[in-house]
Amino acid sequence: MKPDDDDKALSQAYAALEQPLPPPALDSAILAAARNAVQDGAKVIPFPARPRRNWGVPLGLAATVMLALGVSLQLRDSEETRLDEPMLAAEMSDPVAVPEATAAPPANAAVGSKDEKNLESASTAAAAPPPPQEEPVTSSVPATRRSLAQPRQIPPAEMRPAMEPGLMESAKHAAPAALAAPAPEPEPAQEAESKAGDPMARQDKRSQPALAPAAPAPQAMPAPAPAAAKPAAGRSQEHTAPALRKMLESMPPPTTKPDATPERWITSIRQLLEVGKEDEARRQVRLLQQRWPDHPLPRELRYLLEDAAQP
Amino acid sequence: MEGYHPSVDSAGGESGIPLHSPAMQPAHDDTALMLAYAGGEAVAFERLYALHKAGLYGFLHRQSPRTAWVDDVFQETWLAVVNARHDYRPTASFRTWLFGIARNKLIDRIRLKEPALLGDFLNEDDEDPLARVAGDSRQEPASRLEGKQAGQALDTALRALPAVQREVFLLREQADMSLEDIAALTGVPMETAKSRLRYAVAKLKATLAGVS
Repeated sequence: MKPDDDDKALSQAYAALEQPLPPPALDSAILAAARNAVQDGAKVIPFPARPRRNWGVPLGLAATVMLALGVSLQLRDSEETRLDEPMLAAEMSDPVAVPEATAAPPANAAVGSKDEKNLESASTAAAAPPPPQEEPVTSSVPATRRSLAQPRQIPPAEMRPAMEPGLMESAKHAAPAALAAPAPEPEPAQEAESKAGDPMARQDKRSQPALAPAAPAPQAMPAPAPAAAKPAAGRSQEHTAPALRKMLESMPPPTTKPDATPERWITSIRQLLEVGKEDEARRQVRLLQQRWPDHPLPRELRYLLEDAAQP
Repeated sequence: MEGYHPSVDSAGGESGIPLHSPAMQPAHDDTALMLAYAGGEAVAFERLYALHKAGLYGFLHRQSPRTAWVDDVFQETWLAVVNARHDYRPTASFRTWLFGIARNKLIDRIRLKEPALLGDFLNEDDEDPLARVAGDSRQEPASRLEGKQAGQALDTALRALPAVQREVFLLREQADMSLEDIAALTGVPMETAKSRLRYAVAKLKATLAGVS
């Protein structure tokens, strides 16, 4: 076989091989693209066009939003913790602040009030523990903040040395009454409960001073405490150390106000006599003499002091 | 390669090796059709496509290392022709331009998908082609080849050729390109293209001799 014949035979053999052809769908697609390009005058793109996955952008946005939310929540929690810590430290380092604050309202009420109801409620409200409605509010605080806020609820054992024993006893007796008696104005506690869910309410609650829980107590304690306070004080003083008793005696009476004048005090005693509260009037006269020993007692009230001096 | 225009315009067939030309078409007709299509005649493109689709598809079918790539490369090649219609200049035959685009698309695909095979398709055949022809273990004994098996043996031998040799052979057979055009398209000297074609033909002849 000559070389040319060999080459021709090879070409023929190759031509005899099965010649693959493009699929008809591919023919149609290419021809359609060519026609469209001429008609529209625009460039055509290879097909089948692979769909672009555009989920990257929304996913990135969602991740950014979630990250920002997480950071802002972390920052807010840390700020709340910082706000709680100094307040808590001030409360724990100044135990006298609680009795001072609780003693102040009765003085205001006793001296400044015009009617008997205010006078009676004021004497008991000062020693009232935080109302029971406060408990759900406190429990609604997250665990991390509750651990810091719990010491704010000072147990009665810690309050006793700086508090007048009589007031403590009256508070013990008045607390069940407050639980049993319907509260005349329950709005504060209910509002506190209703606001416990939202952050603003919790923030308001945290921003209140340490004596805030005692504020609604006068409204929820209608029980007359002065009558029970005197024997209660005697029982309590039996268990009080002498040094502590001396310190308590040096303190001003709980129903007085540091800036209360003797004239206003005498006026309130006269009002007590007018409504028939002679026992309370005697007690107030005795306290007035202790507080203002040099102030002359009006003649019409001296019999109260004489009767009180009798055994 | 889009916009690739070999400087040599030849209808092919000037080499000493008479080869079958299934897609024989006067070059000036292809050029006129392409210019007509660039002028907005869609029918001219249909004519060009009908003339060259078999040759181009056959070339890609046997030259591509992966059969799954053939349709994609074929389509990309024709769409490149469509998009480059305004840039086409009749400095070379349309067939040379078309196969040049297809070859570059295939090499791009290999580079992207399987770069390890790229060396075989570029001009890096240091192996002695004759030694490979003689020592190819995949070649079956000629005595076992009969009838239709001869075509399969030729196809197997063709696929067993080095890529650069197979490419020259396919360009010669499928596109009826001259050695000069093949050398220009593949970027190798004329003698190199001629040598590759000779080695390829020698191996394939040996396969046919074993069948006969």
